[in-house]
Amino acid sequence: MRRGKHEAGNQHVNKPASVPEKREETRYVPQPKPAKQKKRRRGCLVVLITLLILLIMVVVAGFIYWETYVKPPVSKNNDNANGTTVIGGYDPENSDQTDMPDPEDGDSESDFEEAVKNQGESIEIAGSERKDECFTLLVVGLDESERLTDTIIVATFNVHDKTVAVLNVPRDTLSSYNGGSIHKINSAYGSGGIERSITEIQNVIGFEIDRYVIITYDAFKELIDEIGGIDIYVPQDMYKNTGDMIIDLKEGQQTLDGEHALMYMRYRGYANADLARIEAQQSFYQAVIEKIARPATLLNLPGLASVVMENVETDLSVGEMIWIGVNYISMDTDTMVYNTLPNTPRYINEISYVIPNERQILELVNTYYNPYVEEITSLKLTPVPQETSKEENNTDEDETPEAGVEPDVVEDPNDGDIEYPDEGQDDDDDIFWIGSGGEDLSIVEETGDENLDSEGTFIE
Amino acid sequence: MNENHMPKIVDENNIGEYIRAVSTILEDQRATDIELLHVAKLTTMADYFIICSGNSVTHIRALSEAVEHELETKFGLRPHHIEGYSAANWILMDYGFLVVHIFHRETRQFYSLSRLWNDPGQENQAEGKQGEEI
Repeated sequence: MRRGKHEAGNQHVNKPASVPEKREETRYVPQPKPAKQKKRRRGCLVVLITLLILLIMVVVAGFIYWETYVKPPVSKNNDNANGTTVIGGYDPENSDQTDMPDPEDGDSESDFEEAVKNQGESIEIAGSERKDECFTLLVVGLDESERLTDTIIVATFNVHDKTVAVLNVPRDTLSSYNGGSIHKINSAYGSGGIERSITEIQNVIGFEIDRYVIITYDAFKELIDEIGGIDIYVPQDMYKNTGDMIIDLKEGQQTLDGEHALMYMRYRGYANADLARIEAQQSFYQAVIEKIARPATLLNLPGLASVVMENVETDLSVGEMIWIGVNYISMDTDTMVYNTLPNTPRYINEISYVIPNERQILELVNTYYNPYVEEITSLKLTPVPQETSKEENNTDEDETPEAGVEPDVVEDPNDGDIEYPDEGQDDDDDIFWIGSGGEDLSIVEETGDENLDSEGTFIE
Repeated sequence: MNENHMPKIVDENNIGEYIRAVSTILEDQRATDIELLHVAKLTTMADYFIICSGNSVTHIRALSEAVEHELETKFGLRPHHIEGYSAANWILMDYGFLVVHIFHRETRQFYSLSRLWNDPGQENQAEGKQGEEI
């Protein structure tokens, strides 16, 4: 029995028996795309692939460049790890032969022999093997004439420890070149360029310099302006007419632009000259590093780089500069060591010089700056001529006239008086005795000091 | 100052006596933070360092004069070099076997020489104490 489709519960529509419905099958038939659309897609693909290849090439090239060129400066003596280093003196292989008298040019043989003898002995640092990952850098700042190195700084970088030790060499340091006439070390550049400066500086510090940077006043100002100035606390009011600049700064926390930063760095009239100046310059370097490390400054690297390339002369490669920037920008500035070359101010022929103190220099150099494995035991210092008029007792050696320059008015901070002890006022136990109770006044007479206590009373 | 004098030949048997004399005179002259370092194994330039501090330029010069006077009158010893006397922030007295460093108490922090020489051979360090028996 055939059931109808419409039995109870069955919802189907009752249809008469007829030809079964013909179901239409539907299927997707891709429509052919227009030619233009095809072409566009293919073009995009090509571009994408090209960009990807280019990107890969850039990354690979950058990696290769970084690995090959971005590295710390290599010390000059690394190829001679077990040999000796010649510091100072005449090195026939590296000296300019035109400096030497030549008998063939009519110079007498005695002139030749005399010149060789006067050039003195080279300092051979026995076993001058270099410490690993340690290099030295000289930074000199030229004055307005661009012939005198107003600022001379030697830095030793320890790559392993990420430390920097900075040594300031006073511009009035007594020096000579190859046994010639004496002069201030700042004039070496004007006479023989950076090579002569390096030679004379190496004589007083006892180790070789791997790289140098020469910067002018204008470059310094532009660099400071480029990073937006320096935020620093000026420790005291500063006023001085240097002849080519009037320094005028007020005490207090402030942002110094290039012009005023230069004033800050050139100022020498601190009450406690040595310590205060060291502190002030150390604060400046810290402020510079902190400013450069800020993101806003880093964004301006192209501008900085432009100023550097236009105004700075250096034998650092681009890779080496990048390496220094990357590794030392983020260093802890509190670990930076800063010293001034120990010296004694002295007049020679009415011109003020500073005489390097050899033992003190060796102590400092071997403690902080020596790039060699073995300690440095001697320097090649210029002998002090016998004709010394008087010994300068003013510790501020930079407030003295330079040779050939109209002297400024030199202010004697002591105004001719004996410097009385000041710290003793706070300490009842700070009672000091001149001499061990003896009567040897010859010592006093030699030095010119007087046996005075804090109240000006003579002490026997 | 008395620089570049030829020193009397040091009697090595009396080195302890020399050092004790220097330590004593420095203490008497109110030097502070007196350190005696035995550095013979660390440097060829001296066997001993004595490092101390003074309170002022005048005090530092006085300490230097006292040491020089003491060693010369008692033992006939004169220094090879005395450096830094005029500035008197750091006076170095070189006796060959012994180097005496006299710092202004503020300056001493800058130089921190004892940092390098702070070897187990360091004899003692304390304010005003004399050296141990050598």
